[in-house]
Amino acid sequence: MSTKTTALSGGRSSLRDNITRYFSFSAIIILVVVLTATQDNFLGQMNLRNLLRDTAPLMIMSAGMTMVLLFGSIDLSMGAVCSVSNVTYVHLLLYFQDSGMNAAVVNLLAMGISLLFGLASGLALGFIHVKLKVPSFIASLGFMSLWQSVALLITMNPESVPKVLWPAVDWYKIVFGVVGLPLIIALIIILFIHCVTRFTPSGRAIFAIGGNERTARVAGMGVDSTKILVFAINGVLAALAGIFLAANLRSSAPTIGDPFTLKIVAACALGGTSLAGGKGSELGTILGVFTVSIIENGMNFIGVNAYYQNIVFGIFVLAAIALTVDRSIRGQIVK
Amino acid sequence: MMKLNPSATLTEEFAERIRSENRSNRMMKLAPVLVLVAMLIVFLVTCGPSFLGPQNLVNILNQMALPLVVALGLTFVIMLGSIDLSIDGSVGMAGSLFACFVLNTEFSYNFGFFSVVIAVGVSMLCGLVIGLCHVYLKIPSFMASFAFMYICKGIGMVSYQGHPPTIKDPLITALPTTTFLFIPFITWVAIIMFVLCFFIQEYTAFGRHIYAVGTNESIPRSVGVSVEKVKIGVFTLAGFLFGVAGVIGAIRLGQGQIAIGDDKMFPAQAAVVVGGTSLAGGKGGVVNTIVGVLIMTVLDNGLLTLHVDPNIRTGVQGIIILVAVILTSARGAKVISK
Repeated sequence: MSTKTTALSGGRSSLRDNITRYFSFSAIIILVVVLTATQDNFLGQMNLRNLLRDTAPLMIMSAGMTMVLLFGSIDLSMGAVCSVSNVTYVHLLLYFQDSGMNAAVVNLLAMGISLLFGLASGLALGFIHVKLKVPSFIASLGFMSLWQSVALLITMNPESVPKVLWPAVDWYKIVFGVVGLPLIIALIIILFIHCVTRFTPSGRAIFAIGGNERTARVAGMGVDSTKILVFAINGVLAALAGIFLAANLRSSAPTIGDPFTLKIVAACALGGTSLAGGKGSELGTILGVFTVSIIENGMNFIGVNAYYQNIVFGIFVLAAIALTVDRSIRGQIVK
Repeated sequence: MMKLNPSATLTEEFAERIRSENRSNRMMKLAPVLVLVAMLIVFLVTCGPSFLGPQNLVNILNQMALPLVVALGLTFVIMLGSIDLSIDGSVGMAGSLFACFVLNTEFSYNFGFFSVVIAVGVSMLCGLVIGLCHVYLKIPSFMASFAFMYICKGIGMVSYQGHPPTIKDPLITALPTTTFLFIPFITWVAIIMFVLCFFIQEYTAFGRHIYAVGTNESIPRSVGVSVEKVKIGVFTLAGFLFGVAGVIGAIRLGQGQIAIGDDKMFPAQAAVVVGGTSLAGGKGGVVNTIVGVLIMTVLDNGLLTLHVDPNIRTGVQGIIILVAVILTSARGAKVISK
């Protein structure tokens, strides 16, 4: 599709297409080269392992968000859903540990309930957005406020996983060379979603809805059901990321997901997914996620003051979105 | 009969539709006031008559000052059909900057009143940049302002480097307890801002253009109004009001820190929407907003008097936004919501 528009509208837009396509890729290369040149040990095994392990939750959530962005909506509640699932998971582990059940059963039960919560939240958000026609950003903003307070109601203070149950979360630390198991799971998930969105009719429907919703509806696609389904998957993925974070820290924190919302949008936008919908891909998101992680890791590595990191991220998001926004249609109204 | 005289039935049908629309419009206009009255009665019954006693009324006036100023800024943005999510950041930033530049415990600056100008000025600048990003880079306003929430938070944190300055200026530390005609000084500032906004909205060309742009952008554009300038002006005005709100917050707290802005966005968002300003733009105004702010403040104050968990109160705000938006959003079959 992008090649067609390039052919039609000529030089300038093809230049911009290329910039967006290779922006995150070149950003990764530049960042890695600069950081390796200026910092010893940046590509050391220790840092590489940390970097790749911390990428997993962000990648899982960005995989879901990319689908939502592809049909032109947005979900600002992912970070809060992640927090709730994070505290629920650890809280249930603590709750069930004295029940005499097998550790594996307890673990699966806690995971299942957390994921179910994500599913329910996603379904509710999708329903409110699609059936009650509330703009997705305002609906998810309401959910964000709701889930943030629910997370704090479940536990005000971080809770840690008891030592008896450590085997249950030790899978997170399994490493093959420098690539950890969590990253492999995240990559499998995102590649699976990529294949579904690329090669199945229901996946292509997401692009069609993002391109032109009215046409998609006239063409007989299940617009409403597709949207609700994507929101539900998105909720499950956010909940899964919460479990990953709990396994990583062996403890929970009620505000752990809050900083993720901007990072997710940053990763998707850097990966070339347009906020207007219909344009982008999961493969781009993988690159975007790595860009965000490397920026973050690099800033920590160099020792950039944590206070400046917010500013840097905000500017990065604006720049990334400004590059991917389609300004070719004249007189288009942006709200 | 209907087939014989189609034009008459069409006119009748049209008139009937207009009438029903007017009826529902009138209902929508009255609804917020009714909700406010109902809520006052409920809390009067559950909390006892002291809820409307002079002490609690002053409390409510005190509590509503900051949310009112924030919500006024947001009202204009929402009237455009845009939205500003930068509130948490810009309010906190203005408060932090203000405290850094008056006589304080951490830094040796002492600019007095001029520090208000600095804080509000920086906040206006952020609003201006949001407007520029939105209008010229065509970034959706919620995304541009969302990124600016983080940028402003960063600037605020950088300004005091982890050591929140406590204000020492005797004149300013006395302000929170100063009253004039039984109304706290801080509330007077909010009232002045309200009058200013009301004047802008009702009696200036700029204010009327906001309605026009919110209703249908292409019409003011075709009659030669610079839609771009109106939009940028609105975001700058919002930045100004968020800055004032931040300064008020810092004066009341006696300290400058980024947390002044925390949890300011949802109440403001809820207040504007509950007051009857439509998210689609072009409808509502600052008078609606003052009713909305009163509803939110009375609710918060009432729940506080009933000793409800503060976390539940934030959750309630999220639900209120959802319900209010669901009730007010246009639900024609052809509307595409993104």
